[in-house]
Amino acid sequence: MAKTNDPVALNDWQAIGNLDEIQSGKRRNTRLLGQEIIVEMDGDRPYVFEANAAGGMGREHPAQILYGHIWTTLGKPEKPPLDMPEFLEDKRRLVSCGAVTVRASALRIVENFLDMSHFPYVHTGVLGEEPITEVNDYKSEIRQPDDELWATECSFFQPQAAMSAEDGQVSEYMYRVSSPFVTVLYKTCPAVEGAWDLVGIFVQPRDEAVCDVHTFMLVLDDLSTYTALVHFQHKIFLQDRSILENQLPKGLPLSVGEETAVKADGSSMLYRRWLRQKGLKFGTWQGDRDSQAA
Amino acid sequence: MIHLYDYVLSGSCYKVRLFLSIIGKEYEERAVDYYPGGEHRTPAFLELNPLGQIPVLTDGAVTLRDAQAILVYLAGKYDAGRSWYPEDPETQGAIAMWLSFAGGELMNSSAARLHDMLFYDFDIHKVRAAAHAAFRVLDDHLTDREIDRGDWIVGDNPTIADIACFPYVALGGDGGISLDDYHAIRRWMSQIKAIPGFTIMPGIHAT
Amino acid sequence: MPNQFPQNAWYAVSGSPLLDWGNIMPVRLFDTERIAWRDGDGEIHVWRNQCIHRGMRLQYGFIDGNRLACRYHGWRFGPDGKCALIPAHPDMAPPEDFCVPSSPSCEADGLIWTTIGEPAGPPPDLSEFENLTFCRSIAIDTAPETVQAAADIARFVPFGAGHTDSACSSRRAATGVVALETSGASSPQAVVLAIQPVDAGKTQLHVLANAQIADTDRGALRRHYAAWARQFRWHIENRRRIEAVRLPESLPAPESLPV
Repeated sequence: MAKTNDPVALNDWQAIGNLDEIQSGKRRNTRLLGQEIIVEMDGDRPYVFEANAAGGMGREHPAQILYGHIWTTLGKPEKPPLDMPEFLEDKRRLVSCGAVTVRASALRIVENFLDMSHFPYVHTGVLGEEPITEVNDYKSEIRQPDDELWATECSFFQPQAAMSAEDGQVSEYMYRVSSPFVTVLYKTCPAVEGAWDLVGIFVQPRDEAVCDVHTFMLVLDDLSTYTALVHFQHKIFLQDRSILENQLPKGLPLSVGEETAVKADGSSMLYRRWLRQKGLKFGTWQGDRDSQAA
Repeated sequence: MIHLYDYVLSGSCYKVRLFLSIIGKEYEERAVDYYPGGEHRTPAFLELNPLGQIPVLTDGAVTLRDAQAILVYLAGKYDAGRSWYPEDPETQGAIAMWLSFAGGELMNSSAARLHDMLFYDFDIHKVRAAAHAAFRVLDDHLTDREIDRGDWIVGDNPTIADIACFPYVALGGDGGISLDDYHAIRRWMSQIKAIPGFTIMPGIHAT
Repeated sequence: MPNQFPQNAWYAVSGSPLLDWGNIMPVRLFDTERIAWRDGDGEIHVWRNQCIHRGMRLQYGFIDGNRLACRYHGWRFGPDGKCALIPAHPDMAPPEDFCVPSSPSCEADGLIWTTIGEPAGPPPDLSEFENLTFCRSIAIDTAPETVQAAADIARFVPFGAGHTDSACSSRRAATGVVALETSGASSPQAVVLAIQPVDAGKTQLHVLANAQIADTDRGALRRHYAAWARQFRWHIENRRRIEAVRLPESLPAPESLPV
């Protein structure tokens, strides 16, 4: 496909790689919202260009470094990328897990991130396990003026909540979606009572049904090695990937009634409503229900 | 104590992790920052394995690379029942054939997966076609085995041939290689998942 | 030219022995996705390959007693397709309309049959073949019409000692079903080929043998026709002139295949 013309998708910031990958040259040519782009570093400054027909550098787009990643926009965003003050906390480690490609819509990926009901089935023995499958009531809302989706007072019993957790525990969660393709969760930190660990994904939609997912963590964990933390996150995300690539239809259905929902899906229903209100088309299902899997 | 230089997403490492779990042998993991760090290509790691690949297994004075070789060693050393790698030449020859296939033709599935997930530079159409060709060979073989009332690649019991071939077949979907055509492979996979001590990795379901 | 594979017809999608309890089989017919599974009472069900909740392919689910569970959130569905349990709300009785769409299906003559349309009658009646043994299913990377055309002029050497002659005749036994029969009457055999149109470029072929044999020979019979099926596939995919398909008296040395 060519670059999308969906203004909701274009007028927003997306991450396109972490600093290591881009500085080392591993990620130079990539694709965002259907557009081939080229990323260059000049010292500490990132530059992003559309790739022209000859593969050279065409039109330039704004670029910035934030949270260890390069961000760009192909349009004119009305708000900056999310604010995570935790990034500046001394004791926190930023663990950037590298990009993983998934053949799914960015919206399915974000929705999966918000979901707890799948913990016992997809992350068995780690984030959940039968018979403790019930999802307790939680709250979802759109917070203004930031225009962000928040789900709070979430909790779930977890056999191994984090790399450093030794026993099962009830984890508390908050989920935040700052723009259609960016989401962070805050969960009970096993190491420091009363504190949150952050795990998030910056989803880079290459096309409507293919994305690069940049996963990161901001954790208060002194004990685990960087590699162990990355591997824990890779394990969790790759378990999700095998689900995400097998959801039909590829595009996320936004209208009520196109898929069946229950109370535990509160944050997903609110996410779909929020996207509908924004008028987002990119990555959504545009057909009718009966033709979804024919 | 056995040490396994390992990466949670590596199908080749999983061959060893799976076998160790089934035979109930303890080991310590040495996590290698394969991705995104590329630790397996550093000079320190190349001292351990000049091919710059994982898994590598150490067991006292023994250091081995190559998942297939490691399976041969572990079965010979720790399987008292001698069923995972029987001693007769006919069976060993047959197993060696399939170990070679597991480290050869089946690795096209690994290449497709690395391309689709982690940006490795492969000719994706070529490797997918080669993976399908390999899956077809295995499926035809398993179809004939089923006709002879056999559940395993070689003989009447599971062997290291089954362990070596399983991961990159089961992970085919990660690289866009569907198993829908291969009825005998799917049947064989359920048999393997029913072996006591079977353990999963991301991309493989428990049943 | 009339459509050889109308959608409003029944098609075989599996040999019965391939679908035992505990197994969820992906079924592809006319580029649509279905699953087939067998419940605890042995009944076959063919459903849309898509969970009603978040669209997860049900082929990756698991069987829990007499229910099919979706791999994503563990929703359980009973043989009637209705949702019986939602683990996120284990005390809630799922609403009646939480139901996976199903397709008509039946099991006859050693095959599982389904349709994506509205057939006028029951599945093809293969009772004229009184001694059917299911041999194997085989995927062929060509259009169903091509497979059918090849079947129309294919030959085979019947199983058993003393057969060397590959003379045979071929006829359309039913929509999507071709029978190859020996010409000699002394010990008649037939190969029954049930064609499943997967999509425009792929076909599943379900191969059955009709032969009166001792039970102890059944494995050898299946092996014989499984080998025939591989040869048949090779010739179609390599676009050899179909008239040249002849089985030699013994299995040939392996020819190099495109990889």
